[in-house]
Amino acid sequence: MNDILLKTAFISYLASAIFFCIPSSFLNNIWDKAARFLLKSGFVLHSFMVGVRWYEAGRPPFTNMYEALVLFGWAVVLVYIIFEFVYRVKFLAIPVNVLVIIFLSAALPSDSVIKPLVPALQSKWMSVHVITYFIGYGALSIAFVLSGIYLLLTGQKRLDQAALTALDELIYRLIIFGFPFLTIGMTTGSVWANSAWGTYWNWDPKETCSLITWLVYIVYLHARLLKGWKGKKAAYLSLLGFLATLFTFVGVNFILPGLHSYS
Amino acid sequence: MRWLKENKILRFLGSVKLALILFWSIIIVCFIGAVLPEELRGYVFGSVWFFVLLAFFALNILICVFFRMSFARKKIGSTLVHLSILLILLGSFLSYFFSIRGVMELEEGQSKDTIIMGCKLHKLDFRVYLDDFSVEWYSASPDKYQIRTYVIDKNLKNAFKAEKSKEQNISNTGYSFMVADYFPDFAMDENMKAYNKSALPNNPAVLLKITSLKAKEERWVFAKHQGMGSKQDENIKFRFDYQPMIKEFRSRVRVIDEKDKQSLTADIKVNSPLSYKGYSFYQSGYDEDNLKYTSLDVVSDPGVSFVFAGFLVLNAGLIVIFYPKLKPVSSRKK
Repeated sequence: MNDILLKTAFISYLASAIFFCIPSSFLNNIWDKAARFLLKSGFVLHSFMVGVRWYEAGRPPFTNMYEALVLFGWAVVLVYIIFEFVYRVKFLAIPVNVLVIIFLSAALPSDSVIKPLVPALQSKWMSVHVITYFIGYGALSIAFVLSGIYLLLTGQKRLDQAALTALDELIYRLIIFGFPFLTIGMTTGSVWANSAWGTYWNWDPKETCSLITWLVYIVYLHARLLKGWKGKKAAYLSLLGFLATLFTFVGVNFILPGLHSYS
Repeated sequence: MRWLKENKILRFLGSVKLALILFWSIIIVCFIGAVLPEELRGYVFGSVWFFVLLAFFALNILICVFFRMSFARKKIGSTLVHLSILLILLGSFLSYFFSIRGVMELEEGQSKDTIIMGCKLHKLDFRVYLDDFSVEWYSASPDKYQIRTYVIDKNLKNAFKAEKSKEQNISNTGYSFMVADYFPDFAMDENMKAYNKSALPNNPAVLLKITSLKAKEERWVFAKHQGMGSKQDENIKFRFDYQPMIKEFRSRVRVIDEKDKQSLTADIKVNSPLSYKGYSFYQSGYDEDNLKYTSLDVVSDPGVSFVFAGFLVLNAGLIVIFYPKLKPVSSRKK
């Protein structure tokens, strides 16, 4: 059941992406509207899939790479919907669409069999820890893509400075939206570790890397708010922050073994 | 006060510049610590210089709070966040220097009032009895039997996911086999006859019917004891891979405190420790071959409450700082 839901959501996202590619002046923006509608329908199906899987598994479905990628994609679209609602920034739909397609393309071929949980993972802290982390990751991954776009655009001479400033401001807002979630995720993880193992911090590679990620964004915030770093310099820090995030999320699992070996 | 604020050294110690230097230093140190193998990590995170680095960090925040922070409405979030970091650092300092960590190993029916810390004993002023230890598995039998074969004269290795009573051909060897039976808890009676002792997966074994061009044979293959069992045909080897998945393990203990004339019973499970008189008991391990033993990690950590209080203040502070800034420009007061 949840396999079919995810595939339908994926097709919806894919169709949305194709519709976005059609020039929007054509036919009174109808393609653009359809694309936005498909993106949101994809999200509804995607949410439904997570819910069904949660129900079928009888536990939060966030315990392996497949489930993590599905949730990552979901969180990216959720952040987009919040940002579109609050700021009416419509162009965000395109990078978000690309991101969710990447995450789901990585998820779909992986092993989707629902597996039972080892005792350490059976905890009420899991859903808070994972969901908050991924909403944070969602916001920061969009900030990452926008920072990349920002740096590409600054290379061009004939460009509207106001648009660039707005983009820079949007990146900043995504980061200050995501950062508290990142912090809640990290601290609840620590509380959970204490209830499972009796230590709230073990300097396990995953923990250490999550601290590094957190510190990079701390640098971003201090540099921006107190040293006036904006534009290019800030965008580079945002890139670095998300690379650290990515390393924490995937890199550690493949390179550095430790307590977090399951996800 | 004023001369303090004008002191150049103090101003540097509380500066954003030093904060940024410290952030990058901690990031670099953490990166080194993360890529080092586990046994070397202590040389980084347990070292004096790392402690000094964190001490400078604490000093930097402390002076910064003293110089810049206030409880005015606009600055309260930032003040809270910085104070929370101090609280977390204080808590981890207390944990590092004053926590007691040990292990208590108990057999059913046994009681102890000491824990083992490295090579010395630490006495508790109460006694812990283990009434019962139990392990629960998700399932005591595999869905499919993972069998690996090795035919020696052909030097051919294969892996199968076999179903019960279904013939499997090992191609190009003339051999075939079938899983005829499965016992989760294999044992032998006085007459050397195989029987299933219990429904628990204590000694999972499969009975294979092996057919070759020359002969037929029945052979028991064990998940826990590879290579055991009698065999007629030495030319073919089998392995049965099965690790039953544990759902839960649980120690039912009784705490008897003669001093305070108290007693209580509790179930200790992973993710649900028992706390008594400042000590927490965590279910950490068991003996696979003797399911009457339990191993509990025992921790008394005076830093935890400071760290967790710090977490709470930190999260609240961050929301207070950042979420008002997220208001759309048009609705924000100029």
